[in-house]
Amino acid sequence: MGLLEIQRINCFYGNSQVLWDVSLAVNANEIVAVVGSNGAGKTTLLRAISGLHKISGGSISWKGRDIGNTPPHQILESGISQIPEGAGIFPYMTVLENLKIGAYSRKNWKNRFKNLEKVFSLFPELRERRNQLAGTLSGGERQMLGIGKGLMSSPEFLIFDEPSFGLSPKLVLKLLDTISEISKQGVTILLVEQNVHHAMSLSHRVYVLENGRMVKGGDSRTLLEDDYVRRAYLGA
Amino acid sequence: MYNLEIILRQAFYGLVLGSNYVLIAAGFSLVWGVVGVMNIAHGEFFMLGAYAAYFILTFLGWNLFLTTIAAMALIFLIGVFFEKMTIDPLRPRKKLDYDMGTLIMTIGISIFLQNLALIVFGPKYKGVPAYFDGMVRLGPIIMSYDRIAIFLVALLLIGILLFLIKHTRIGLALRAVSENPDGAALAGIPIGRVLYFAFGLSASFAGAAGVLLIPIYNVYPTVGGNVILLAFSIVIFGGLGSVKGAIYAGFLIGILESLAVLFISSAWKDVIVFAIVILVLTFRPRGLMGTKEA
Repeated sequence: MGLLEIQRINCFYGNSQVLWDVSLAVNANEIVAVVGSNGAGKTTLLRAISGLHKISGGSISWKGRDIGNTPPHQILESGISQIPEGAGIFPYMTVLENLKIGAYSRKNWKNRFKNLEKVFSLFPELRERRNQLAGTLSGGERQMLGIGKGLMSSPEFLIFDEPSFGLSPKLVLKLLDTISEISKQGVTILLVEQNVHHAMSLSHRVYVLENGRMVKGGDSRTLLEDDYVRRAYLGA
Repeated sequence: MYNLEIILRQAFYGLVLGSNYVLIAAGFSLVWGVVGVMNIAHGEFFMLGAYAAYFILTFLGWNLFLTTIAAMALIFLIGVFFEKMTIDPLRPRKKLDYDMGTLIMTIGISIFLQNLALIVFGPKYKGVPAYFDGMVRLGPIIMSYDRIAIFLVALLLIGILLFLIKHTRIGLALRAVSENPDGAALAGIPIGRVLYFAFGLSASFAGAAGVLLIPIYNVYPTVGGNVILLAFSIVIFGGLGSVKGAIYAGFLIGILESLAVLFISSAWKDVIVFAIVILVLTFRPRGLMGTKEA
């Protein structure tokens, strides 16, 4: 039984269906990646997990409890934190305020200073810039702030949507290090990536989503050798 | 003909008015920024606040502070009620549909409340005597205690609002929802509750202005019509969705209006005020503090 189990969910935008019977499982302490081209439905899948998008049919269970169509703030309180594409920061608020928002729920609010210290020790740059408006940060710093904000709720499960988007190759490598560092601290990770090389090198298992359907899934090393994946995503 | 004393006195009246305009416009701007609703019924919350003050003062004889607190609490609840009953059900709709739906909904609330007030309270103007009697000389100008008290209460409320938005947990949530609702939801902020709160808070501040201005203006069922026009021009002048902008613009328009009355005539004051608003917007379409073009 996985920590997070998604079974045959369907999602719609108005009348058009974007996810078809999508299933996925993530076990404790794993790093799982979902890859796929633009418009494959990756972001919708993540939004459905976090309660931002309604599912029609199928189920999402977290630690054996059904969490399908639960409001986002309750999902977060249950230990699942998502860093959306573009880091989901608030540009007209300071770095410190952004981080505090990550600890908004009552339980986390009490621990905000303790968690703030943890985030600052992971990203010392954020401490220096704590009173600066988040909108003035560079792309890499924004991504750090997004991750820091996500960690302020001491999540057991962290979801990343395109974390490498718009970052320089050097920053991407740093980001991948950070993600595996967070994973080593016992946080389970699900990430969506367009950069298949990165996704496969970082993750234990990979799912391939195409036109709203899961077409393949398996061990990252095995899929690296898979003919179909090599041709479609790795340019081989 | 105009000596300094009269000009200063009129400017102070402008500040008193302006402080109340700020209460009205800041709430209007808050609902626009956080809830994403152009609340046409905002003036009716002012009207309800003024009636609440009239009845509290006439039948219970409470002092200014108690009256303000009681009226604000009442209007807060009424605001939350209307958000929950009328705006909240429209939230699942798409953006354009939500914008149009809520606009029409608030026009409906406005008409409903005006006519309800007409039936319940009658068409007659209702006024109250001043909250405080007597005058005091402050340097070169003579002011009534009443105006000073109204001004101080309004300033206090503006201070409370700013503190709330800038330094409290709920203020953090209000700003987060206004900047990025999805990001706020992902951070664990219960959006629905924040929207009720924003609407109630906004209504209660319009209600407070009703309490404070009733000794000067009287109350009648359609008084909200003037108020919403004023709120509109101040908020567009100051920058849509910016509470800080509403504060500057509110004081500025209050003073402009009072000086226009002195130098030109009270019949021309709206013309002068709107002409200046149009002029500012011609050269700065986003308003004084706005971040987006209106």
